[in-house]
Amino acid sequence: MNPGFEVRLSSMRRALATVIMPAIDPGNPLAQEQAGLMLAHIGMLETQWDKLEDYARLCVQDLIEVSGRIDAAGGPETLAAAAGLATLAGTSPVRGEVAYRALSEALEGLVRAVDRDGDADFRRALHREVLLHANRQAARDRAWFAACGFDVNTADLPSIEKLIGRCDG
Amino acid sequence: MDSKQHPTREWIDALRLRYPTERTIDQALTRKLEARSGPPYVPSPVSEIAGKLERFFAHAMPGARVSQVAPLGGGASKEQFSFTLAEPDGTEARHVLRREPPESVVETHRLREFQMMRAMAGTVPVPDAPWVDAEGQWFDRPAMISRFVEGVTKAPGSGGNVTGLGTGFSPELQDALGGQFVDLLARIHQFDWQSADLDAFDRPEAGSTAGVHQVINWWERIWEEDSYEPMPIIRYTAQWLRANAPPIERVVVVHHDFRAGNFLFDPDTAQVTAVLDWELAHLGDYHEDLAWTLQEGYGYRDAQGRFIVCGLIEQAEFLDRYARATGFPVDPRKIAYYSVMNTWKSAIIVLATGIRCVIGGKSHQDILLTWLAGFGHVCVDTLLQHLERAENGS
Repeated sequence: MNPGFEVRLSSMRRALATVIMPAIDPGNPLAQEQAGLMLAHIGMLETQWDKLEDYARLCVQDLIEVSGRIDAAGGPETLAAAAGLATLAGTSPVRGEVAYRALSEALEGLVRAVDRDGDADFRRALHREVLLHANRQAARDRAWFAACGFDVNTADLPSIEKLIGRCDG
Repeated sequence: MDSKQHPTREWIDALRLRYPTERTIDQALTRKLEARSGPPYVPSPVSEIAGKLERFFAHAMPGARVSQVAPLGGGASKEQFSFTLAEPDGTEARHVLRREPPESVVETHRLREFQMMRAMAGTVPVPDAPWVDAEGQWFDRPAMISRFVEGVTKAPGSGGNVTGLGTGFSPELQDALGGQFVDLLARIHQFDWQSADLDAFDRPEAGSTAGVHQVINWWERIWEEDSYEPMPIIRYTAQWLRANAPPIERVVVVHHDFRAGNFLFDPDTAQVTAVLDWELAHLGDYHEDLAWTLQEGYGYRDAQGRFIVCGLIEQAEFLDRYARATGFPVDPRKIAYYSVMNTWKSAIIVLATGIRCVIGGKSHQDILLTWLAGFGHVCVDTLLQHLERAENGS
């Protein structure tokens, strides 16, 4: 276990910044840009690597709760897709990221199925759940990737620590 | 195993059937899938590129000489190399070779880009594009050669993220470039495309929603082909777009990526020297371009809370000047519709295709595409806001 991720990532960052990048051919802008991006990626990994599983489980929990609110009505495709989602939601996740993808796929499958043979009222209810979930997930993902620098409205975003319940702030 | 990484013939054919779109777009997407199981991207040594250029020009312009071949930075979607071409009469000029990587963050057809750039020459400043290798006969993969145009995408020392997103302009540059920016877009939309050689493009019918549905099919097919992490909101939005598609009343050339970062200007005179990146251009509704340019992620809000389009010009002024320059009515409901469509497309580009490229190791810019995925979540957030506005008519 020793050295841990923190030490290894830190040594990579310093090697890249102090030795490798200064040695890059100034006539190769692509190599310079990519080295800069590597440095930025390493910086993000340093702050995120020990929080990933907590983050993924937070996202999974939200999808499980969405699944619990679904009361499907419609034809066989809708009912089968809803049953598949419910089964997945009742299974203990082995790893957060894997469970998140599986649940998202099942919910996406239900959106498709409901378009084909869902009852109109259920379709509206499902769409509302999908939109509300997407809002919550987008807010989380924006916080998770805020360091990429694309977000012009970061003031309302929680820190990653706050998101996963590791600080009081 | 991720089956999308090893697509079968049957799977490809089923997608083509389910999502009918333009002929050449179908060709480009099908070619991508057919090559997906193939080897990852391997950088070509500059000497290899130089050799290919020499062989190409021995055929295309006997007696010409190629020198000073060098990789260029930027270019999230295509490999780019600059080189000097000495023509047989002794004139020398720098050129740019744009070559497709095995897979790109936007999979497009070089013949479309080539035809559109040639068609637009004289209407707006575009790099002269004398040669295309649409099938990759000379450069192993499809490629295009254009003349190098002097200019910058942002002022030296200004802010901005990779690929020009969030590029900052000084007040002086805003004054000088803002009006040009609008006028160029107006000229693109007023271009008489029906008289141009654009046979690589399907021509949507005016007064119909068929062309809009083709665009939705184009991008939903890409989501189907490339997405790695399912996102129910992307599927829901596709359904919403189909249900709410407005007819295209006036068919125009849609640039599709008209924004800061995609034009060059002379930093001394502040004159635009070239409009770049025509690879996604198609024929459609001008509101599609307006909504693209108005995307939140391409601009910022000033101290008064006004949105500055692409960091260049205040939104109301942008729309007013556009309407005056073209005489075209700007329909806020169509802007709202295409704002939904465009943020949906942006999310698909960075969260599906970009990541799919990286999974296969297929691009020269895998590390940039991984970084750009962070923009995708901003796109989704913006998409949700646009959906709400479009549904509420606000």
